Amino acid sequence: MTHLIFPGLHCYACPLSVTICPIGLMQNLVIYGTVPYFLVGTLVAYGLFAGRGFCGWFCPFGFLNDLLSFRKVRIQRVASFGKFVVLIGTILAAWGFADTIFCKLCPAASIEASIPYLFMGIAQVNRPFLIHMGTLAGTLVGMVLIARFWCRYLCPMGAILALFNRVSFLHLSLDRRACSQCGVCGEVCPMGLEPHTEYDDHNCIKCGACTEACSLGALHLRLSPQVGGKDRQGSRQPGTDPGRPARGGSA
Amino acid sequence: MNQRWVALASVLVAVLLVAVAAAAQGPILTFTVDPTTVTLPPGGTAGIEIAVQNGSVYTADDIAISASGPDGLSTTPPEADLKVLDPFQDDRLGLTLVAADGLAPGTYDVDLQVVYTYCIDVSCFQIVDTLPVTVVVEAGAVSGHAPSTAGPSPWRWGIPLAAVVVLLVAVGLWIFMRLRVPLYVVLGLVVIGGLGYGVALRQQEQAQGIASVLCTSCVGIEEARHEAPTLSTATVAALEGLREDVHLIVFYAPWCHSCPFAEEMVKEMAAVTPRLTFEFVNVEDNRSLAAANGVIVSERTVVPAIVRSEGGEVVFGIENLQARLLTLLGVGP
Repeated sequence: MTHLIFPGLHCYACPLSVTICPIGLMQNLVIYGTVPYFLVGTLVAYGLFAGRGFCGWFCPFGFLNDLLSFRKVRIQRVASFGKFVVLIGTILAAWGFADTIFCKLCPAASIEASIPYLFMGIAQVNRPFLIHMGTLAGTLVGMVLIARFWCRYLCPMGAILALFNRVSFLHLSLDRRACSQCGVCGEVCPMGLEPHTEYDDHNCIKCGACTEACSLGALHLRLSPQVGGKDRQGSRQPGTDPGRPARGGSA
Repeated sequence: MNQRWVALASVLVAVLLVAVAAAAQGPILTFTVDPTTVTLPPGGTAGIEIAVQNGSVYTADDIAISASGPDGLSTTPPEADLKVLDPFQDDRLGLTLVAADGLAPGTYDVDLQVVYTYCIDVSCFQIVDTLPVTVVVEAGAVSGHAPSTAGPSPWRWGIPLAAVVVLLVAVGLWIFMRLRVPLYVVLGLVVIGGLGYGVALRQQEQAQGIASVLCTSCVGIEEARHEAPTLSTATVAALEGLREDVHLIVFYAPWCHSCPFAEEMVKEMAAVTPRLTFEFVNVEDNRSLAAANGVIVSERTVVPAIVRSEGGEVVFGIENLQARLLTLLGVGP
């Protein structure tokens, strides 16, 4: 085991894990009443660097979401705030019950702890195991029906990183002069966004699918501070584009 | 319609998170005496602080600490007490050691006797523990200060709160004045300050410690049980038939939710037959012993774990514990 906190949803109980899950650690620190300097410093560093880019590029549970991303339906804006509800609920539950309640429901723990430890003879088929399998099954069904279902609506780790999406160094930028508003980028976005209008949305996981799909080269992943709200390609902040369609509409 | 269902599912998950309650557990209070060696002159005084930490979700009641030692050494007050210590809370108690005028210089052993109670459902237990203190009486020593008994300072949240206020100002500048540079500066300071101060406090080691111990009920491998264990008639009969001396080692972590049940089960069994003895080992303090006994799996120390002192199979967790322990003892069905 290392001291390293990895900014992706994974179970630190996993036999193969060598890093610490921020959500699991956060709950323990809440229970202990520790002022979480190390955790906050680490998460802000990760957030500043890539925001939700970790969801798109590094998260093991995000990878599973990608494998099951068959239906890239449009994101439900209101429901996408569900992950913040889960994050706050996780903190409140840890504080209120002095227990790691989220870990007992976490679908990542279902895959990475419950099942491996069952085969290692430490876990047994009991009620906690079945609860884990239930949350896993529900999440898998959600993933099949809605691409990146967990990442869109429920992931508390994604909620933390989403707070930094508009200031992270790794960011999606739009060359407005090159964009024809064709909407191809929206068709490939696993998060159900319209990248040509929502390129700095808190749900963007910066996976780069839209940059590959855009034949006009209007969308780019960049690694630089988002200072001034306008980059060298002339991208603009949402809400300042007179030709921008309304949120929730199609391109 | 689809949006409503997803929203409803989000709310249900949040409600589930809050609704799944974990009830009481954990009998162990941790006491840290500071200092453990006290120097004072004849007729002088010295303060002792006893930090009390409740690492369990049980409430500890009637915590009392008193000193017993040679004539000429006493404490004021005679007894330090704390009525209640809630789960996962810390507190501090203080005693002032007083040396009589005529006490001869030398080194004395003083025992601080700790008594407290806790209850698991209707079963209550009284714990008696002893904390050793060495008292050195020297003619030229200087009296110490009175002990501080203040609890954890709420001011420890002062720095984070100040950081949040500054951060909110920076976010405000960004939103209302389109200024992002102050926000980057503040976030950079949070990174540097958080990591720097966190490492200085060795919080990275705390994080590693949390992740390197696998409590079976903490990640939902099994369910924590909070009732006092009761032995079946068949189990008692089997234990009475134990024909060899067996020493069990029970590995636990203070914050492990399943461990108290395992500890109580072993205690109950040992009460049946004198051939069965046991010891409790905190894996956070003795990882090498855990490793030597096969309690570490995939570099994680799994608790609770029970093993015979001569080695052999390890019983992890508390699922079907009574039967598995009988098998471990060689008197199983």
